[in-house]
Amino acid sequence: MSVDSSKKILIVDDEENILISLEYLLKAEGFDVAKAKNGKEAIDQFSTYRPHVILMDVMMPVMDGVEAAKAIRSLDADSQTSIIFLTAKGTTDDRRVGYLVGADDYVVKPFDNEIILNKIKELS
Amino acid sequence: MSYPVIIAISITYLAVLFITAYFTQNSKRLNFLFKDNSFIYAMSLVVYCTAWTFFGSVGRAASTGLGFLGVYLGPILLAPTWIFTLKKVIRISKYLRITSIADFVSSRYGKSTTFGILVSILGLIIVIPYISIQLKALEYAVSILHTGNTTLAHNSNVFTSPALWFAISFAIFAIIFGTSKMDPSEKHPGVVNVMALESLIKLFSFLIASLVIIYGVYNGIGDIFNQAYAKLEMSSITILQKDGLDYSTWLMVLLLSAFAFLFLPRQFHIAVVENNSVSHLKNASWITPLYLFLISLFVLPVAIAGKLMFGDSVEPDMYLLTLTMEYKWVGVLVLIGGLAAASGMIIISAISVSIMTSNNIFLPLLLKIEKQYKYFLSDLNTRLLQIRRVIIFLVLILSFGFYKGFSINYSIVSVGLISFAGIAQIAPAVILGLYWKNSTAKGALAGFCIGVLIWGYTLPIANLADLGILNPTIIENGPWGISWLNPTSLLGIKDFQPIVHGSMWSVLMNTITLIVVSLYTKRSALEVVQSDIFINPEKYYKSENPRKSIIVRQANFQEFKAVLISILGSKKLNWLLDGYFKSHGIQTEPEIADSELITYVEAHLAGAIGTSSANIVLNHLVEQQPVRASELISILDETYQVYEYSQLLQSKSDELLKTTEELKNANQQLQKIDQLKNEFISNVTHELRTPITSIRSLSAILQKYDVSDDEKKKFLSIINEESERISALVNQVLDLRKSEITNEIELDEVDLCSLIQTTIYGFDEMKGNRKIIMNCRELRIETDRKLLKQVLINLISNAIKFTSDENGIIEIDVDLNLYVEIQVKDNGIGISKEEQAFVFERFYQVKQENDTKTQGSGLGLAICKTHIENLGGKITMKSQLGQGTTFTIQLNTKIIK
Repeated sequence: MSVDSSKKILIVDDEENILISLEYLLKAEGFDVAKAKNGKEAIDQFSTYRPHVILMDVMMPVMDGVEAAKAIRSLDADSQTSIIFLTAKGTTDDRRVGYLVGADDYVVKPFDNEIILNKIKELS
Repeated sequence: MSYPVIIAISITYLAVLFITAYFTQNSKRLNFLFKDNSFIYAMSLVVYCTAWTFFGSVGRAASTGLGFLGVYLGPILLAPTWIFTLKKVIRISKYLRITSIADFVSSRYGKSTTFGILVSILGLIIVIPYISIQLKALEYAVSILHTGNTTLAHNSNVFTSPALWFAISFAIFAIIFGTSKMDPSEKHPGVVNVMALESLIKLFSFLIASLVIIYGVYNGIGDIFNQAYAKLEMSSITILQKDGLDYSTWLMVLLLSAFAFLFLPRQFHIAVVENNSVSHLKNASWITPLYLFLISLFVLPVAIAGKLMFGDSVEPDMYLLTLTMEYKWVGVLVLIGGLAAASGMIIISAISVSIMTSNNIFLPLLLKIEKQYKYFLSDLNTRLLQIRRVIIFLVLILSFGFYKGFSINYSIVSVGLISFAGIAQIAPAVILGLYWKNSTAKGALAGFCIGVLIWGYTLPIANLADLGILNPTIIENGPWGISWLNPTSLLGIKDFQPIVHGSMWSVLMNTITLIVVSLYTKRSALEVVQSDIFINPEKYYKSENPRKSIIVRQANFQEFKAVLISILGSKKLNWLLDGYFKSHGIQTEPEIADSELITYVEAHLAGAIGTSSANIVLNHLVEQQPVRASELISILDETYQVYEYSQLLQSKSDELLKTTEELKNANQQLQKIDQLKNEFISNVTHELRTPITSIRSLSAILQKYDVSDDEKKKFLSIINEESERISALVNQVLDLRKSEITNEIELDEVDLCSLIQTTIYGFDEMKGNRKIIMNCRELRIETDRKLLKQVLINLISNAIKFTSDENGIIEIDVDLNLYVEIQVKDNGIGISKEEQAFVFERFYQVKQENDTKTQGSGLGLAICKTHIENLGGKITMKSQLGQGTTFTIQLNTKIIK
């Protein structure tokens, strides 16, 4: 499937450097990118930016990724937004929680750039 | 009959006794014949029939009819049980070489010397009145024969009193044949044979005399009864009611006589100590009752005949003699019979009491003073024999004295019964001792003492009061007017004959006390060992092997030998030792006498001087070690085993509980540590992943895409930064690890102010526009330079982190109060109250205002804490949000200047 340049990706992480790398990566692949530093900002951005995909870190201050995902899902139930969790943790429990709140996929840090790109493309 | 004739008869009779004793003892052939003879054994038991039987029964029958029979019925009824009970007693006594009833009791209750002494004293107290009534009967008999009068002539001159001379002759006989040598078995075969002979003489003369009376003086029993019907009240004779002779008295007499037959010192001696074989018991159990039956057969007719002829003008005890006065030769026969009856009892009693008291009273006493008077112990053998001779003599003289003093007023039977009741106080201890393993020495002693006290109060004392020797009002109103303490009706229980009343109370309280006290006291180790032998003798006498020593003892062999020679004589001891050494294959005399040898010798020693004395002698010699647990357990009965085990288990389980508690705590600690470790690992890996993520991603981007130069620079710088972050983290982890596992500190003399100054200089670049001030006082301390510097670095960098570039002021103060105090103050953003508790924890990072993660590992303060603690100090923090933070280090270090 060809890349849709109008595809909007919201990346959420409290690490500045990760945001920088992801931003460059996605933009280089022709995606539109918005950033958020925590769960709260993510919800706000979701409402205004209306991304297609959200790359969500789990461990964040103010509001963590799981809470944010829950909120986003409840905000827009039939939204077509996909959520991919990005986290350093990798235990099955977290994955379960993740899926329970409606995540579509789960990626463990440190990630392979290509894997993320593939997952994003698949979700389109 | 003139005195010379009487004297001649008596001397002849005594000569016969002496000769019989001598020959049967020393002639090997005769000895053998007599030794294995159950008939002789059975006859010897009948020493039980004394002048009481010979004279007294008739007297009793005259007033109470068949009431006299009680004292014979008791043993007769009990005879069938001898093959069980008496057999057991004999077996035990043989095994332990018991020498007297006192020895038996003392041995059962842990070889108790006290008990031995008390029982011996009781035996002594009882025997004296008993012997005195024998002497009284003899004197009566002689007097009647001599004067032909039926009343007793009062002899004020002691030295012409026949009783005295009889007493002396019997004493001499007893001394010659009873104390000729120390025999470990305490057997006196000559004496036993004489006893048997005398029993035959008693029976023979009584029967002849009775027959003469019945068919000579009267015309048969029918004639006697017919005349009696006519003259007297029949009810008083044949039926049991008279003088309150009711069922209770019958029963009590039965019981007392059954006890007395076995427990009187002379009876025990004859039945147990002198017994040669338990097989004799079978015959004895019917021969002896038969004898008792025969000797009672004509008592009633004679009594009635006597009453018919003399009424109350003659002492009923003497009917046998007075009725046959016409037939002079019968009179002689009666005298001889009486002599036989009296002398048997006196001789055996004297001998048995002398053995008992010498072994149980004098020997322990001797051994106590032996330490000061060592010469006593030399030739203990002879000394003991001497003591016994003195005792025999004393006993007889005292008995004579007693007779002269009191017996005038006593009837034979009443004294006899009181003695029976006295010796019955041993019965609970013995019987329960044989069948109830938990009867303790304390219990038995307590019961015995209470029994004897009550007995003494209700019987002898009551009797003395009755006779007017003590104040009679004691009986009427009770002592000091306290009626329920009345010796004949304690607690108001009347309607009993004094003998019944006294016996009942004393034996009852005795038994109850024994049981109750035994339930509340414990047996000593020795008691346990001994009681097992008494309760389960089969375990011991049957075994081929010598008794294994349970109590570990040892003694210096030469000392051991020396003491034993003085008791047993060197010939006997060498024979003993040779036997032992040969059977153990020992060639030379050992240096130490071991447990087995000591036990072996103790057994033989006990035969010579009694178990408790043997025990005392050896205890003086040997070093006693604690009981060998493994061997003790092998003879312990269940309850004791359970008790001991339960004690053991209890203490083990307590230990176990403690250990479990400790293990639980340790486990909890370990779990905590494990948890911490896991947390640590996950924290560290988490911390590592984040920088690695950026590095990886950015590196891949740089490779894949055509990145602009500016971006390239940016990316590379990030990569650099993150790499350093990883590096710093790793270093800190290593630091923390190092500080935690090794408390190694390199102490050095440190100029505190210069150290701080140097550290501050290191922050020149990093501080930016902030100000770092130091207020220091000159101090040289002994501490680890590197660690302290690291702490300062961490604190200062934290302070820099949390203060603004423009206004940040960091102050380092040094002061000396009780401790060296270093304070690092900043005017930064401070830490909230909620977070203050966590700052020193590993990986804890305070949230910053802009909610970005700090560039730290969160380990800095944790490291400070560990370092300071290793240096023997304390680090604390005070902070207020928006105002600043102060860290205070307190060091407990040596100050050099």
